[in-house]
Amino acid sequence: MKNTESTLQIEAKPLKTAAIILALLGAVLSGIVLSDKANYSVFSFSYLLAFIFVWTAVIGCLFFVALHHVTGAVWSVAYRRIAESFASNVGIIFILFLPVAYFTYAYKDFHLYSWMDHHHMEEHPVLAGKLPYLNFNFFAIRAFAFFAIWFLFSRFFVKSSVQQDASIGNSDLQAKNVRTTKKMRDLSGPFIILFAYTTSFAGIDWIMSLDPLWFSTMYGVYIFSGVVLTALSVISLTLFSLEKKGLFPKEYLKKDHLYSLGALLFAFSCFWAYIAFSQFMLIWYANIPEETEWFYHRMHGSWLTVTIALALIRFVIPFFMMLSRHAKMNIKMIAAVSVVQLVGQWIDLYWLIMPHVNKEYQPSLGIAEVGPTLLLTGLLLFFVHRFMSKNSLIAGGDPVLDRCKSFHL
Amino acid sequence: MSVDTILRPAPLTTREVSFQELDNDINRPLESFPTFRWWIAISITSGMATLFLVGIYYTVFYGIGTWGNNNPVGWGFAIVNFVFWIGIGHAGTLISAILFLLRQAWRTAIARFAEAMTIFAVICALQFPLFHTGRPWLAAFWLLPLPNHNDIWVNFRSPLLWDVFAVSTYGLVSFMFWYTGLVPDFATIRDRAKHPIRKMAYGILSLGWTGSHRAWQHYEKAYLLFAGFATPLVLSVHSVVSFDFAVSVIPGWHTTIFPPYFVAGAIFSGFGMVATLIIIMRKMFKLEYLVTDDHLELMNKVIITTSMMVGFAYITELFIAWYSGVAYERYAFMNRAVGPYAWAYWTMFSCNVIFPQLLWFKKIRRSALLMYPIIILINVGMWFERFVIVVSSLHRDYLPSSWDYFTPTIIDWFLFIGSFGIFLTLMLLFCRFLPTISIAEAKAFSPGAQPSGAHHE
Amino acid sequence: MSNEKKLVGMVGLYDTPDELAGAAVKVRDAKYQKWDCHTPYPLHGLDDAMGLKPSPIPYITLSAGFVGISAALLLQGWMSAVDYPVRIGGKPMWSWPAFVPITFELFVLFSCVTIMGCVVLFCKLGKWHSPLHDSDIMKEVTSTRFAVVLDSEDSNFTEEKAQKLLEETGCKDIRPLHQIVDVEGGLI
Repeated sequence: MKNTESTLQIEAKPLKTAAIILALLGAVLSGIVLSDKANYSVFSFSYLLAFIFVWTAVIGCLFFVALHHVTGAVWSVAYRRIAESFASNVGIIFILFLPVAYFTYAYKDFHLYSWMDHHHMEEHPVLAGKLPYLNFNFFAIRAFAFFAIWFLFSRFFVKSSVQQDASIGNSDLQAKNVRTTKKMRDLSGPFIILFAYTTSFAGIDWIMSLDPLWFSTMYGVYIFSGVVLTALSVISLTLFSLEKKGLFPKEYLKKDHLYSLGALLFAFSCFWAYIAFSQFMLIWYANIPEETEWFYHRMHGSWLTVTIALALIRFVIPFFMMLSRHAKMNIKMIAAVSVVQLVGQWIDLYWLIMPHVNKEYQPSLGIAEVGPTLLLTGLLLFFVHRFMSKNSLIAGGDPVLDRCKSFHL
Repeated sequence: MSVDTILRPAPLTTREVSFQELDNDINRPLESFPTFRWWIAISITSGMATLFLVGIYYTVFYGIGTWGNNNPVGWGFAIVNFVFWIGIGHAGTLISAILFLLRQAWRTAIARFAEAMTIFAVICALQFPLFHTGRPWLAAFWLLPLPNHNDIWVNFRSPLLWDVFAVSTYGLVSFMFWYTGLVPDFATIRDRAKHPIRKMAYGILSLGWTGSHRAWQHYEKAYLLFAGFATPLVLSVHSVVSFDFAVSVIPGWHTTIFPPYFVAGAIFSGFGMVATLIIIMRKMFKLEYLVTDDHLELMNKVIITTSMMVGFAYITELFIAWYSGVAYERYAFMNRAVGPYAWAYWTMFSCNVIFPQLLWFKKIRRSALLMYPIIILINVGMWFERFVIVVSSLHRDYLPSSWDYFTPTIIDWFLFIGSFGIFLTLMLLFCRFLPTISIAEAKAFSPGAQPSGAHHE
Repeated sequence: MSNEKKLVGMVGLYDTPDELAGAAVKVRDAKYQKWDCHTPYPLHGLDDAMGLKPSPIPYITLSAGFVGISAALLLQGWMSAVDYPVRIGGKPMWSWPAFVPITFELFVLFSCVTIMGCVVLFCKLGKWHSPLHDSDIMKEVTSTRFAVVLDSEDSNFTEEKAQKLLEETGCKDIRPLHQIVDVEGGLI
């Protein structure tokens, strides 16, 4: 097996430059925001937003890799390395999480998580019962455990995949590669189970507990749908930009490959709508005060605009963009939908997180909201680019790559 | 160690089969006189079905009071069985539609069988709410938006009405999907038939199919579209069934994860039932080379996946019930785990989450004999899941003075066992009169069946 | 017996899908219009080989689906908020979230009934009688073999030309297709 193209690496500088510019711009904006102490509260929330945004991309790509292995998929072999270059950044994401932990722990005059106000918690008849779960120590332990699991598995999947590349032009390693792939397939099942629990509880810990009174069993699934959509979008967009620069081999961009990717994007957009509607409708219908309050706030005043925008951007617009079979095979259309979905994910997180700044906070798009997102996105892109320039762009050692090349639906 | 043998999906049949052989083997049960074993089986199942008629006779004659439903538990066995049967049906649509969209060629071996199961399960399911209305001969006016004497319409805000639309759409669409798939096979049977009556019967059913490619072209498109619509439909049906519970304010029912959790559970129980029956079918008709151990393994993988999803939902529910801090929520789940119905809860939990873990072992997944006890337990466990949801949430409501224990009556049991009788009788008839595996699809997917250079699109 | 046989077509039978696909290309290039392939299962790539236009079913279905959505919303809105308004559960009259499930179901129902109608219409089902059914060709093409049928109504059709064309495609089993005409009673 010879794959000259699989040694392809990113040499184009623009991505790196763009990443650095983005990060610097974000840093400057964040700096401006932080120069005024009054902004600390909003900033901590929008930093949380930015962190969750990049976290969903990384963890979603890790899930994509595991899903690829567990199903033994063929079409996605060539795209897997793109997912891996995002998934390899769990360590970076952990470092980016530290400020969230700091905001949670250090600030006393306001609270990112209102459950940090122990006095209030102990007084409240319902909240008092949640203290065994909602306290800083346990919060930190859980976060650490989640990251440990993600880190170990992302290292395993990425490292094994990169090691397989050594076999390019060396047929002795073929048998070893088959064993490696088999091992990855065997471990992907257990990982997906761990992923389901860790992601869902991370969502509960990091976002749902912003309102410690509110609860919904669907929450983990809702977060999951956003995670998968984000991953598919970043993979598609990276693919598109590589294709545009002519860096990605054409034989892996046939209609059949693209259709699979496009259909997944379409399906998960519908899945998101299904989950979001079910959660909303059940709470709207039962109309129990402790649950309805959460939606009531978002269904009135200027927040209603955000809610409608969210439904349009996450579901209605992508649905009609992707409905036709030809659209699902068209890389430009896939990329366009990916942009819409990434904007959607950001609005989704904004909608989940920002109403908790305080009751008076109205939706707005200032530097305080955007700054941290630019900073963290820039950083993530920088590290993704670094990974890509060090490793081959395609999992060239994967024993299934040949079949991927001739993949047909 | 070659890549081909390890990482490639297993072949669809254990040996090479000619088209003629496929025709002969799949049609053999249709064209030969039923065996002694078949007659025994159908006498037992139709005997069971008779119990259903007896139960219905009593119910209609004396009223719903003959059932075990009591004051807090207004939805007893009837709704448990309704949800159980609807769930069984879901595997059929999943296999025929979702796996079709995912281009899983292995579905061919089990799709027809599972689709038939869907239709028969929906038929069984419909009986329960229909007779639960009390006066089924008037039910059309309560269930459908028909003009009536009082000038009032049905309540479109009621999830029970959503159910009427969802389940009837589901039944109709499943039937059309199934029938469309059968048309080319009817033509094959028609052209093999020796007896003129047989030829005429299948000829009428085949709608004059000639195998024309101008027809195949539209047929294939239509089949793909059916699959495309059936996929969200199947998700919606069990979601709507879950809405029956989840829109209420009853602790244990009102929980937002219900829709996807019910769908996963439905697929889980449906696959359990498909596996239960198809293992017997392939043995009876000696079709082990078409429904291979590889197929069983793949089905077991779906089963373990959905089992984990159901387990995830159980754990989320328990955790959020505690986390919510709502006294009623907490009590409802404590009551499930240690209350009077704890036996049902733990039966459900162990059958659905604990025992299926054995399917992690490849050896068990690939052995019909070893997996059989597990899938039987899954059938039991999933029935108990509905029992737990319906009965344990209702029997202790907000008003402790009305708390009561639900005990099914003999009529409840007659209807429950009887519905199995109807289902199995229909399955046995299906095996004798219709091809249990799609002949045309089995041919289309066999090696060398497609022109070289052409590709599936 | 006053039956008469009328030639309505020429049939070439093939044993492999490759032979058929090759033949289809040749017949298409010979500018035949009224002809067809008959196969026991759908052959991929034959659409192009025969030069068929894409099926219009998706568009018809989608339109029917949107009719279903509109019908469902009108039905529910009119019945529960206009004709006999009833307030239930403190919900507004136009309680759209409660109307979504039925709207979705009717979307699917309208679409699927339309698909079924399209199958019957476009696949020309419900025609139980045709010369093919009276011949023994159907026995072959619903089981193991593949056929090209050239219709005599095509302007290019003569018995000799059709025979020659089929021979050119490499067909070894060429059979004339007859319709049995009852002179007194018309068609059977």
